[in-house]
Amino acid sequence: MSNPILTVSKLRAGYGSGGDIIKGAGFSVSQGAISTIVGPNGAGKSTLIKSLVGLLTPRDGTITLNGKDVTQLDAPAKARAGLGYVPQEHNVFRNMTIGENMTLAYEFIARETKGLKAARDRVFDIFPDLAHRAGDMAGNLSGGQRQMLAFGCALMPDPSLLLLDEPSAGLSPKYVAEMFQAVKAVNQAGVSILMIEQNVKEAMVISETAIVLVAGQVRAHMPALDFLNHPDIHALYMGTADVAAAGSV
Amino acid sequence: MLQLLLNGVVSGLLVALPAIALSLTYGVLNFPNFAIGSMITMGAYIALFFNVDIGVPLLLAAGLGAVGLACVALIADRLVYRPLRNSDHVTLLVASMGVYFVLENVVRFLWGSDIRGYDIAVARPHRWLGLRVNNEQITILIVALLAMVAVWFILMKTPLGRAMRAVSDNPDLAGVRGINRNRVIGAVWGISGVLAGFAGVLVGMDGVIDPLMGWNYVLPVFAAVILGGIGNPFGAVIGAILIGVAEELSTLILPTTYRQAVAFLIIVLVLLLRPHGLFGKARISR
Repeated sequence: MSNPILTVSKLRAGYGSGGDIIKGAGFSVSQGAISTIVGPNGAGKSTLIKSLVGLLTPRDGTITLNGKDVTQLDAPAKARAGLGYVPQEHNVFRNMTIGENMTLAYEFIARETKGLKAARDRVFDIFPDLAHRAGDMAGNLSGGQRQMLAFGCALMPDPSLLLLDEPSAGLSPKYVAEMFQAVKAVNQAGVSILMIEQNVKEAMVISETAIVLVAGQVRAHMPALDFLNHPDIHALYMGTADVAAAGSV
Repeated sequence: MLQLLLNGVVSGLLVALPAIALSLTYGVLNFPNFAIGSMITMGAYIALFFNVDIGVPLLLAAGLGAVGLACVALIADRLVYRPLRNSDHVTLLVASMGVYFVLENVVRFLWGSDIRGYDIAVARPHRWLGLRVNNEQITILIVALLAMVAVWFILMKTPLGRAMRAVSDNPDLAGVRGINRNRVIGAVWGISGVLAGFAGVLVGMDGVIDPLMGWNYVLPVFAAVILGGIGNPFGAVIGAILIGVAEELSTLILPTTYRQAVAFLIIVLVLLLRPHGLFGKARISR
């Protein structure tokens, strides 16, 4: 395994005065890899990702990005540290044009505008459909187009690690395939990716590692192929399989 | 009739500036800032201090009043609203009522309760196409339109404006896009303070200055914002002009003392028939 770009250790997180939802989770994401977090509903996947991007302050544990402790940084500071994020829903500013969304995604993280055009061109190369619709309102886009725009926006400041929260959720089969192709293309361009995904098999085909999260804890962390070839993948997904037999990375 | 329309448009423009301020703060902070009335009053008195007590020309005094009120708004945010940032909007509304009374009483303490006025020359109204237009109305027209163009430019053409619209639309997404919410909120309070400060001076020029002058504008300002669509600054301008014209035209059939009832009636009708206003988006919950 190459050097990890993200290391999460003994992370605890929850909302308000409620109990912990993430209960001491720990894993790492290798530089240049695609890692996919899977787990049943209520496992704490979205809470985990919110803690990672700074929308929820962890109660305990550490998050290290590129060797730097970013645990207590808020969302804007984590974005500037190189963490990109595509939420599952409400992931574009609907009252702005596509062009404005892309500009905004760049200017407050890069804190300059000289590289804006190059960043746009780079994103338009990946998502050519966005190029000739820059003046359209984001609120008028279809679900798939909106997801592409959200993905493109997250890429604008050239993040070192991209977090995707169920990128294929609610998309038609045509867009699901396009989305996974785009994830692969972005990764091949040098961006490490950590995603939560319910389309487990499609996600594992393009992933290096699988992280199984159950009840706020990491039950397994293994090569994606091992996960796919596991004799009882359902039990593994639900966290009831013999993890030692499944192996870990 | 045309005279009433003109007077209505000018009255509406007086309401438009604080209505934009109220709409901006609602959009970003998600609560109706009841203290907008006393902000108008405080802005008028700070300018009065520079104009009458120090002897600064009114134009400069108005600018100083606006900047002074922006500082007051920022202090109120730091002391009152920021500690309550994650509270629900009812708590923040009640807090803004408290700020209203504090500011009004600071005005009474510093400047007394007497009726006062700016140091401006009395001039005959101009005649134009049979209409009477006085200097104060021309000033209100120019200042209000300039302020609206400036707000439009900031909101639509600058990074700060994009950040304000982003925080208003989706604060979490704005955060992951690198936008510091507290800085945006500070800018919103600053702009709101400037707008309410200029509004205070214009109201003071149009009538008299007393500690209750802003109170008279609370109802029309809220009516304008609700009519235009809560949280939509451009809708608030249209709402304000419609309220101004409706109030003025109502004097054809009602005694002038009932003018404020028109604003109240409009609030009730809009809430009953079109709760999201003319330009707001219908939503079940925010």
